[in-house]
Amino acid sequence: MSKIEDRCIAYIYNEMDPAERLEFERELQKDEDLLIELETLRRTAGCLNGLRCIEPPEFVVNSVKNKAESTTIKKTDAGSYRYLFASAAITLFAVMVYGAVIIQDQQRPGSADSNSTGNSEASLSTAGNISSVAAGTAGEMEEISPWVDHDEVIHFHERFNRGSVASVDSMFNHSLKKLTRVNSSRTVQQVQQQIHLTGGNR
Amino acid sequence: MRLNKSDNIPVNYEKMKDRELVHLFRKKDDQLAFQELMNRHQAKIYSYIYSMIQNRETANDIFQETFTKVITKMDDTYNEQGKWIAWVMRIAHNATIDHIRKQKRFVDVKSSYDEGSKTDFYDRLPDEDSPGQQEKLELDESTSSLLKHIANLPEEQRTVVMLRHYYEMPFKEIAEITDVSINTALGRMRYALINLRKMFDEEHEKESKYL
Repeated sequence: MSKIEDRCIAYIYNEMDPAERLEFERELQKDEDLLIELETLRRTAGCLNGLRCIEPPEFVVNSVKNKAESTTIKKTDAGSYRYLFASAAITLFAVMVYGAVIIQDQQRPGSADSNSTGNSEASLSTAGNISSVAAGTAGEMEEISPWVDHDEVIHFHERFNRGSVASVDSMFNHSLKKLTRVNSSRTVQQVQQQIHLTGGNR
Repeated sequence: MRLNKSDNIPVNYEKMKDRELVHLFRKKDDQLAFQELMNRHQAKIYSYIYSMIQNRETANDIFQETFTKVITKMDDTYNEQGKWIAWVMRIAHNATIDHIRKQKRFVDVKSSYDEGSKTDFYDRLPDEDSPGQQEKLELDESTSSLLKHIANLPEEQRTVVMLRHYYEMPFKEIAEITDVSINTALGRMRYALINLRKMFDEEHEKESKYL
């Protein structure tokens, strides 16, 4: 509850609810000093009714109006730029997604491009080069260029990475198993006339 | 200047509530809606600023500053649930008080609080822009005389008087704008009226001496 004198203000400016107002009027009847103060305050407050509103100068109003207009134009410009940026971002994103799908498709092991190399684990090319694919690693193809010394021994152990030794060994062993004994010496002689191949893996 | 005369604001705009006009300006960038809002409130806002500052040039600057903030911050900080004019008045009040405090900032004296008038030294200091020192608006005699007395009130009492008088703002809203309790706002109004009564009496005495 505010001081009784402050409540005079609420009474003068009609900011009391009916019950509060009634109670305050009872107090006014009992307290003559309070009534005098109330009337003095009311008279002074009445003097303020002589105050008139002051219009702002025209140039100030125009300046504010122009400011409001220019702000609206800026907002509109910003909106159109935002639309442009959004369109560009969407286009760029679509291109990136499409590119990623194409690249992924090309790298897939079962795809048509990789089939030709993926199926051939090792082969002796006509030029004498061995193309091998590291076991279990699709697409990782290493080309080995062996050489033949004066004793007609083929060397290839120094011609590939140390990491792929195991795969070459397995390839070599696999090929070794396929070798069959030659019973006819004539055939051997015939072969020797053409080429004498021995494997070397030191 | 009334914008609706020069800019031909449609009649239906004049019937709209502030909230509807604000909505039109915010959502549809409707300039006429903003002009109608200005038409309604510009004089009261300017009067409040001028009565607090008592200097035409500074009042012009603060009025423009207020509306620049209103235009730029309406999208971000104004909540359409609240009264638009209360929000604008808070901006105007803060800008005015900032200016008054800047003027007083460099006074190097000890503040002393007076229990009687509930004011400190700074409140009792006249503003640099007090009437007589600066160019004044041409006002009717009654308004001019009243403003002169109001200008001599301490800042917080002046604020309550002007917000109440020009806006018929409830003391609850005045208390919210000035960040005080409603009882403090009522007390300030009472002291303002008491001080004004004293000033009127002194003026009356002076006039009777000269007669």
